[in-house]
Amino acid sequence: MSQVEFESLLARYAEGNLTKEEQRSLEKLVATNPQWQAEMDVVNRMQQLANQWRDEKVPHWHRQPYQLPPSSRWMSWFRWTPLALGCGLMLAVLFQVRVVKSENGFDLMFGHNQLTDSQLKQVEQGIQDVLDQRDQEFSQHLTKALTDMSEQQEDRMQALLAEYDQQSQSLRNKEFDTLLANWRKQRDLDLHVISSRYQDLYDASLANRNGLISLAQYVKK
Amino acid sequence: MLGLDNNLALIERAMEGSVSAWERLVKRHERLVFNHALRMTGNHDDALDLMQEVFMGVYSNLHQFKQDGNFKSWLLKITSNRCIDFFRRRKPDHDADEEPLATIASDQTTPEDAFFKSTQNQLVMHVLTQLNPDQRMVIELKFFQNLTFEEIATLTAISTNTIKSRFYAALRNLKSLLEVHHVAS
Repeated sequence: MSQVEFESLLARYAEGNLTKEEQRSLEKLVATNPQWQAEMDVVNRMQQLANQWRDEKVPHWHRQPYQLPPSSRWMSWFRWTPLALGCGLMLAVLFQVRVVKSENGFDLMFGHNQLTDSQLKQVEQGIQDVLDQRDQEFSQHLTKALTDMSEQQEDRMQALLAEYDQQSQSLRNKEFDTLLANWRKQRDLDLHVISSRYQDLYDASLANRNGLISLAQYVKK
Repeated sequence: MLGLDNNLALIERAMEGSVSAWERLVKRHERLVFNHALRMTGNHDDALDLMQEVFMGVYSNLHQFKQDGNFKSWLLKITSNRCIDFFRRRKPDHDADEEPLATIASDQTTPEDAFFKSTQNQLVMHVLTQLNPDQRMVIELKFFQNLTFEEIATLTAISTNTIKSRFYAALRNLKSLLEVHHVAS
């Protein structure tokens, strides 16, 4: 028997498709060939290992799906609802659909409403009144805002001037004090110089007088 | 209320926005998906991430589920596709050399049970992670999901011959791996 034929037989053996007679002949056959015997042992060993496998417990995990299910019913019935409502509203706006209360109840009306001249005048007058009222309110608000702004500017200007005056006065006082101090210092210095000069003159005069007295005494002798 | 236990009824209610129906559907199948992903990835964090991706995929494609179809097969198909995406995204150096993490012992009753379960499951995960993702997928679907080669071919959209080739290649790899473990144990 060739290797290919043996493998084919072994495959059937692994699937349990051999008859008892075929199985006996296979067992006889593998007894003559150690390599085939080893391969058959592997099949038996793997089947044994598979039987001995004990399922392991599944660890805790998040079983809930992260997305909504692809439900065709839900999608078919409710997916188009917002779109249908939007389309309906758009058509209602386009065709100017109105619900009007009448003597017989409510009427559904489409298109423009034909107004009479008097109704048109009333509408125009109403619009004009609203516009006049808005102009008047606007003028009042504008006047008040300008007045407030002017007053605020005046107050700020006065405050600014007062602060400027205060700063100028302070600066002038400081400069005057410095000037006075410098003048006094200079005056003291000048007086000191004059005094020393006078002292020198006095000393010189005294020396002259003493010299004259000495000379007179010498002449007298 | 009998109808509420039906997968189809739960799916319909989930599509109508029922969170409780969705949770019931998930709780019913999450163990299958998580353990499938655990054997494929070899660690709990990746398995949990993969499971969440699978259920997000299921949720967003619920409307595509055919009413006459088998929900478990459909779920396995999505899981397999997500596994393929996972291994494509993953860097190649993470494929074979990653050891499985310790099993979670929160649902285990006795220390002996916990030890036995941990040892057996870790052995399986370790052996599977030594295979490349294609072979791992075939072994997983063949031995742990008990699918036929034709069913695996349909589920993965790969020819039966290719599936069988991967199966034989996986057996050859497993032979040396299991011999090593047998000697070690």
